[in-house]
This record gives sequence, C-alpha cells and structure tokens, in this order.
Amino acid sequence: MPVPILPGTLDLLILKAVSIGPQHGYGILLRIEQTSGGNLLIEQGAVYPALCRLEAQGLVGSEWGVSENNRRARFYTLTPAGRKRLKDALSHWKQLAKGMALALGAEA
Amino acid sequence: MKTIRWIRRLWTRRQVEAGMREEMEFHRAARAADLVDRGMDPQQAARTASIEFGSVEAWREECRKELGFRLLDELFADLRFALRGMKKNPGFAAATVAILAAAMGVNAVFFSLYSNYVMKPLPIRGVERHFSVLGFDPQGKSASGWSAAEVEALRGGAGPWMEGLYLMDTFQVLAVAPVQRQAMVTSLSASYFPLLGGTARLGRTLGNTDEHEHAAVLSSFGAARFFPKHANPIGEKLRVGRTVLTVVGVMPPEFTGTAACT
Repeated sequence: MPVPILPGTLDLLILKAVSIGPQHGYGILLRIEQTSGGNLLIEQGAVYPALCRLEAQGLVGSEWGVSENNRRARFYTLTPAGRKRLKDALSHWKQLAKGMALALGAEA
Repeated sequence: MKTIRWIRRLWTRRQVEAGMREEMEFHRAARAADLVDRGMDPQQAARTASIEFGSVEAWREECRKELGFRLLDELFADLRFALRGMKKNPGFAAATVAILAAAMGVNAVFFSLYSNYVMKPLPIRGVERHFSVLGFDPQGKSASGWSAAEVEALRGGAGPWMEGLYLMDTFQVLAVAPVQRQAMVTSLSASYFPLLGGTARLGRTLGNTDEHEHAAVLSSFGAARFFPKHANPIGEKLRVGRTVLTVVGVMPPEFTGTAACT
C-alpha cells in the first residue's frame, strides 16, 4: 500500500528522477513510482507546481520535444545548480534518515 | 539572475500559460493511454486519469504562484476592483482620496518636523558632548535665559574640562540701507564658532579677537535676504538698532548653529 510522501520531499524526488535523464512530467512520476517500488503516493498534478518552483530557482531547465507517443511534451533536465542542490540534499537526507532510524529504533 | 528569469517569464506569459495547459493535457492523455493499455475502457480511462490528476485550474494556479505571477494578478485584481468602485461612486471616491491626501500631507509635515528636531543630530562638531542648561525659578517656571553673571558663575563651578558658549536670540529690526526688515539676530560669545566648529562659506567666522568688534556673520538665508544683489557681501554694513555691524562672513546653508534649522 503506497504511503503519501513527507512534506518537502517532492523536490528532492524530482531532482533525483531528472538526474537520470531528461523526462516529461508524467515520465518523472512514473520514474519515481518505479524507483520507489510503488511505495510512494504522489498526487499527480502536484508534480507541476514543484517543477515550476524548481525551474524558477534555476535547478531544472526545460524544452519542448516529442514523447514516445509522438506527442509534443515538455522535457526537464537537471542544471549544474540542480546537480549541486541534489548532492547537498541527498547528503542531508541520508543524515536525517540515519538519525531518525537511530532515534526511533532506540525508542522502540 | 532569478529576477531576469522572472521578467522573461512575465514577458512571455501567454506562452508560459499555454505551455502549462498543454503540459497538463499531455499528462492526462498519457495516463489515460496507459490505463487503456492495461485494459481499461477508453472513456473510463479518460475519466480516471482526470480524477487522478485533480483540478487542472487549481494546479495551474499553484504553478502561477510558484512562478511569481500571483502577486501581480492579485495586485491587478485589487486595482480593477478599486477602479470599478470609484467609477460606481465618484463622490465617495473623491472624498476618500481627499481625506487620504490630507492625512498623508499632515503626516509628512509632522514627520519632517519630528525628524529635524528629534531624530537628526545637529550638524556641529562633537554634538554628543554638547548640552544646553535650562533654569527654573522656585515656582517651577522656566527662565527665559541667563544673565552674563549667572553664566560666569556656572562656568566657574564646573571643571576646567567644560567649555561654554553663550547666545541670545532676539527679533530685531535689521537695516541694510535703505531697507529695514525684522530678523532673528543671535548675539554670541567668542567661544561660539570655535566650539561648534562651523566654517564660513565666504569670509570668516568670529573668534576671540572679535569680542569687542562690531562684526556680523550671516546665515546663508540671511545673506540672500539682505544682500540679494551681492554675490559677496563681505565688508557690507548693516544696522541693528543703533549699532552698525560689518559683515565678515557668510555661513553655508547646512550650518544651523545650535538650532535644528534656520
């Protein structure tokens, strides 16, 4: 049963998904679903405000291209600033996850 | 860089909005196609994709917020609302604008007075070390000034580290032949300019050697008022009561002495 993602983690998931290669919004969602083993529940439309935010911050770039279904789609790519942010956010996340696991494990 | 990107997006807002719409339509179509591939009826697939996506308009509004458009949209909406209100009731609008303008004007006047008299330090050297001495009689009424003997007594009681200056402002009839005008005349002790540190714009200031001389230093405003045709009034004569004074200097406009403004 997929669980809703933690608030504030969608940006990190998108950056990670885009770091693998250029992808459109729907493809990004599928990629997250696939890499998370279907454990994460993301509201489908929520990916677009997040992409707008990341693009406004210069962390992802976009250009129009043709999808696998031969339709016009906007493809997102990671910028150098986005790559740096992803690296920092991943390191932060790993530390956070480790700390949470230790704290909750000790409590249990 | 962020600002440049924002301006560029604003400049091409129509394309940005159209792109947003097309992108979301693509998403729903791609999802519906996936559902059809999994064996769902096309009509049911389109409906399910639409439900899963949520309200397109709500997500577009969220996107506008992230792109920094919403603030402008709200501002323009408020302006439109205000203009419609003004058009509907012009008398009320005119009265409101007049009251607001008057209130802002009064506020500006009071703030400039407060700023000049309270917030800005006087433009004199070492202003933080200056203080003025006020006197009160036994009934608690403030004295209008000090006599020379009282000043000497006060100075005598203080330590050698304290220097004092003495001044007296009076309204006098000041004459520059043939014109006579009333003006504020300040009589000064010789220590006035050395202590305050003012530098004359023209000529010189007064010092210890002028104590018994009939010399006058004009403010910038005074020079323009009494000698409008003289670029340099040094050496000109003016009369205060029966005393004829020679102008020896003119101060720059920013010099206001111990007052907040001239």
